[in-house]
Amino acid sequence: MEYDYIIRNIVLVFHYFFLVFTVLIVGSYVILAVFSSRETIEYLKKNSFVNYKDLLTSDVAPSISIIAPAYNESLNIVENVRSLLSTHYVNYDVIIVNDGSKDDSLEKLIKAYDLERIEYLINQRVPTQPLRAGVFKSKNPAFEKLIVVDKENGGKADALNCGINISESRYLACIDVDCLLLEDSLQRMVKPFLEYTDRKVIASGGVIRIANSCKIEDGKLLEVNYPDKWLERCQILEYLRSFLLGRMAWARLNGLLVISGAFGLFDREIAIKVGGYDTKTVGEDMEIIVRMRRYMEEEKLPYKVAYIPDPLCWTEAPDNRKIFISQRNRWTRGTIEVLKIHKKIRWNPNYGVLGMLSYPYWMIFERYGPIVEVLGMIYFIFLIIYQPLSWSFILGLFLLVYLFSLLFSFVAIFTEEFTYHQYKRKGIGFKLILTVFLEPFILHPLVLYAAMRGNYDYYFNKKKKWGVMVRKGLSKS
Amino acid sequence: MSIKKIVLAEDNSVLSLLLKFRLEKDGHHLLMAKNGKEAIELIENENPDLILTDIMMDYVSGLEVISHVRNKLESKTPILVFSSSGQEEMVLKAFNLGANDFMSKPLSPNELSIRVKRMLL
Amino acid sequence: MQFTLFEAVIWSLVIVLAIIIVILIFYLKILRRNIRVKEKNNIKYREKIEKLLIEYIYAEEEGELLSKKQKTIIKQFKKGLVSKRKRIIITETFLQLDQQVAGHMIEQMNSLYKKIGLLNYAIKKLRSKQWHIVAIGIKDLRHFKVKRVRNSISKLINHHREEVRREAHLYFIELFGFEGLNFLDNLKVPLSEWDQILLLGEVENFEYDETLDLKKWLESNNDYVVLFVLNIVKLFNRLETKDTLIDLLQHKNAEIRIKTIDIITHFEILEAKEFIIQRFSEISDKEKVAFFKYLEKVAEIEDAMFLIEHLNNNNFEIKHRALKILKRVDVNLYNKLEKNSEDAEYNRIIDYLDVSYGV
Repeated sequence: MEYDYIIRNIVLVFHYFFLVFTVLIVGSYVILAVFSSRETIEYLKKNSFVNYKDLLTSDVAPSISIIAPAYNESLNIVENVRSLLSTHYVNYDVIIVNDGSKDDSLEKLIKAYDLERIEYLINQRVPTQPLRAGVFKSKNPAFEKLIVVDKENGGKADALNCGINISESRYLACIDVDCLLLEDSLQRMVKPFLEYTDRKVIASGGVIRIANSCKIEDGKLLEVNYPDKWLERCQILEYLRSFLLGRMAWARLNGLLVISGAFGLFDREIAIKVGGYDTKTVGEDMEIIVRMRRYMEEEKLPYKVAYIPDPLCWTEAPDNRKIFISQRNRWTRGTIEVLKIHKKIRWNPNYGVLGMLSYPYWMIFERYGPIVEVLGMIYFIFLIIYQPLSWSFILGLFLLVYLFSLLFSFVAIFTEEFTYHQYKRKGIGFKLILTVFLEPFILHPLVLYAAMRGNYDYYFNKKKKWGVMVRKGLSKS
Repeated sequence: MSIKKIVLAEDNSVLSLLLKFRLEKDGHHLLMAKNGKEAIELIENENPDLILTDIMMDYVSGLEVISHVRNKLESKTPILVFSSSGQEEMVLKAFNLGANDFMSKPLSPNELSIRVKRMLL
Repeated sequence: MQFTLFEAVIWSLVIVLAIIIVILIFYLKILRRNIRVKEKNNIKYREKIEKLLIEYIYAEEEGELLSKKQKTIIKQFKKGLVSKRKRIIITETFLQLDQQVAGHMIEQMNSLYKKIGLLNYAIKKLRSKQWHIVAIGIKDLRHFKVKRVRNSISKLINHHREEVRREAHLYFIELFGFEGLNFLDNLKVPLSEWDQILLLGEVENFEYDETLDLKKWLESNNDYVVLFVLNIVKLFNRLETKDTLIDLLQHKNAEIRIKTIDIITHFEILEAKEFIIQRFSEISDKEKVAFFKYLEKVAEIEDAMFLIEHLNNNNFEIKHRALKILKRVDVNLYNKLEKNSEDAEYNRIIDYLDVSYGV
């Protein structure tokens, strides 16, 4: 009798736990969706009549350095660099950091851009691995904006830090070398830095769009297509949800914790003040933002991390499961590491929104969410075996969760249609709808699995490093 | 007096149309390009008597067009560039690459017509 | 019984959601189709309008105010104005051509703009409750050089929304040149860097007006006005403001001080040198670095002693410049320096200077 009573109560407690968790997640998504649409509408209003070309001929336009670390990118490095050099901005340079590549990236660059080794005095503001072949610039004035640095391997964060040392610009655009940037990306990304007078914008992040199957020629995006592979399709949907619905909302709340490592603009002075990127974590893109934010909170200076929803950066997403899982595994470990490094700010009112809202949210829903979900599933199976539960209850609950997730995906798609409408082709609408229905079955299990592996690897497998993503290259028809 | 072929590379559609109208009134045959890449294709296929190109264009700039015509095609076809104000550096680069003349925007279609006539002599 | 209530709630929610999703699916298809159709129509209409505009310009006939052809075209424009979508296309087409051509055509276009009534729509926008509509209205009036709304727009100079006041400032500069800058007298709000970039972009199109009193603005209470006018000083090489500039070296706003040093460097004003050297220990690090950039231009051999004092400054940039300048002004003294000190950075800099400029 007593035994039964105890079991009943434990079951009840678990029930309420999962219920509350689910309600919190759903509720938070709703709130984020509302904030997101407000912020996106405001952004579009503000910039609907902006002529970005004014920045092109201005003497007072601030200097920007594009820093792109490269490791064994020989296949497409020449084309990628050419694309970066054709950005329509007046005052910028491109710093390619060849991070100890074992291939012929450097040789290809030297040949294509007529490079010669130069003496360059580096102000080592941030410690990095030493140089290898050195610093190179072009003899041809057409390529005067290009600087290539060849150094000993140190990882992406280390390469970025090297770029930070070399740069003399006011702002740094840290990107992945195979990202395709649209011509006016720099103007749009730098605008928030120049607009505010009552606070300092320390970083701005951009939306990452998936370039798979898009027509790209000579470094220009000619046509946006919807890929055929389901894995790629699901990622597009997922990115739309997280960028348009997630990050815009957090930017509005000034609680943005992450700026994609593929494309972000930073205030160089602040980045140096906090010591550059952390080379000991795989989540360096998130970690530096948290650290920069902490610095501003600790100094009690008003600041903002901005977010630009325009589709400016197009990159290749993993197209096979193994690489996808490896990528998400790394993201999971990155999240765990960053949260651990900065646990001082958790629930700490001295850190404002950062400590009281962003950090807890990230911890509860991003870091522990997958674990809770898996536990929930195990618990459910346990219940089914040991307790008589009505099938209509199980089915009803499952459908409820499924339909809610469909609803959010639809909201993301509608947001995209009303704003940028990048997928214009006839017939894509149907494919998008199909993707919405299938994504929870195709992508979500992989994400959960990768998260579990990530947790396992973090605690038990110390040998994991940055996975090497095999590049297929950006030039596909 | 044979009809002269002119390639016009300009991404501003209204301006393009305006210049086309004006120059066709003068009796020339106009081939239009919206960007540098189209311009190069037209130049290679049609072998024009004169090239008019804007400097700032998406997707292969006017400078690359000039460079392609002078270096790759080794052609002496006269080239006139348009530039917006504040782009003196670009204009200098254009001349260094081999352009023959330039007009700054805002431009007067009448003046363009006269210069074109002179360049085609 | 508790669970059955749960079930009922769950299943009702499921049904509600399912219905919503079915509606959304249909709506998505309709939406996409509408967008596609609208875009196609817009492109067609735009082509039509472009042609119409060009025809109007070339349909001008000698002696007559308006040729018959032109009158027909005006009627067609007016018809289009009724629809908001078409109105936007017409305005955009006008604007596209506006900045590109000069001379008689601009007058033709501006008068056409007024004749078809587009002007009234723009003026109406000024009274809108939505700030971005007001801003767009000012922008249109600016592009079409409508001077008569000057008074309405001058009320918007200190508007709470930066986009609106930015357009108002641009209006005054573009239409009234340097005389338009007088709004700076009454400016109570900040001018962001973005504002300044846009304003300077307009200002640099004008011939400098000698009667302008820059000093008044350099002494303004509004720091942003000071910063903006400093940019103008640099842009137009107004050396006559020299004395005011030296005063500004002591301004309470650090950004102004640094910008002033930058301008003094640009003009190579020698009088500032002693002034700053005397106060050197009190100024901030950023100002120190800026000062060394200045020294690079104006240092002479008598500054060698000052330079020696700073060869071991903590700041790398200062160290670098001090050594670089010393090498230039007093190469003998430079060569007598200790080449291998304990400071690794110092050694590196010396190495670099010796290699790149030839020992």
